[in-house]
Amino acid sequence: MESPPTNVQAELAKERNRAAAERTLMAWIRTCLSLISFGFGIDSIVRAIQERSQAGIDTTRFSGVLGLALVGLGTYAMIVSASEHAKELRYITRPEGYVYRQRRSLALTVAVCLVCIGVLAFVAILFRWL
Amino acid sequence: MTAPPQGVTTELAKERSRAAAERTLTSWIQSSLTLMGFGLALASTIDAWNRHFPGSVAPAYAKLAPYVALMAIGVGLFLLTLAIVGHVGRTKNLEGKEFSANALYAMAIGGIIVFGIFAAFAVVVQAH
Repeated sequence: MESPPTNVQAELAKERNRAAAERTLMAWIRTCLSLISFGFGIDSIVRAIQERSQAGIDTTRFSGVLGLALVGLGTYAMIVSASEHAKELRYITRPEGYVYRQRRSLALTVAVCLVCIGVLAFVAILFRWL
Repeated sequence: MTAPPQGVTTELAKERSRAAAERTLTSWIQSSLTLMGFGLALASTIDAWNRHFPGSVAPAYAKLAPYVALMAIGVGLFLLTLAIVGHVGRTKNLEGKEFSANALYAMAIGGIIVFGIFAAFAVVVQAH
């Protein structure tokens, strides 16, 4: 049988942290779903146009690379966020006291990757179209 | 130098603040992705359609589409860069470090201006 908690405030704070971790994971699910579905969608649309065409030119390369990069980024973020969520839940429930740990921000990594993909796409469109 | 631990409830509150900062940045990622996604989808589909079915897109739309696409991607990149700077500032403050975002904002805005000049130069070169 578990011993009753001695510090009610700390226990309530842990419960708030658990709820916050849950909301963070849900935010990641939405973000990754957007990344993956967009990456998959853009490639599918361009391939569908290609298949209906008689022109015999390949326009799928740019959208293929872009789609793959976004799907890859979304999958990576989902795996890492799920793993971080599990680690955080384990850390909250351990019997020793809680100490805030500095660690690498996944959101920052994903945002920087997205900026790089955006800059490459911007430059590619600029030189291809204008 | 980081601040020493300050009691369980304060440390847990710091962790919640970090999670809140993480969620804020993911929201910005979603908003920027929507903007950049719109631009990329427009550019890719109009380009593919135009090449495979020449003349099927009205000339006015075909001419306007790349500018709209580039503008949407540019605005998305700008917002995401500002969000990254804000996130770095918030997490540094949580770690107990004095952090002023001014230098980082100046760098980000400087980078965007250089990028804009490069883009304008590319447009001029392509136009001639």
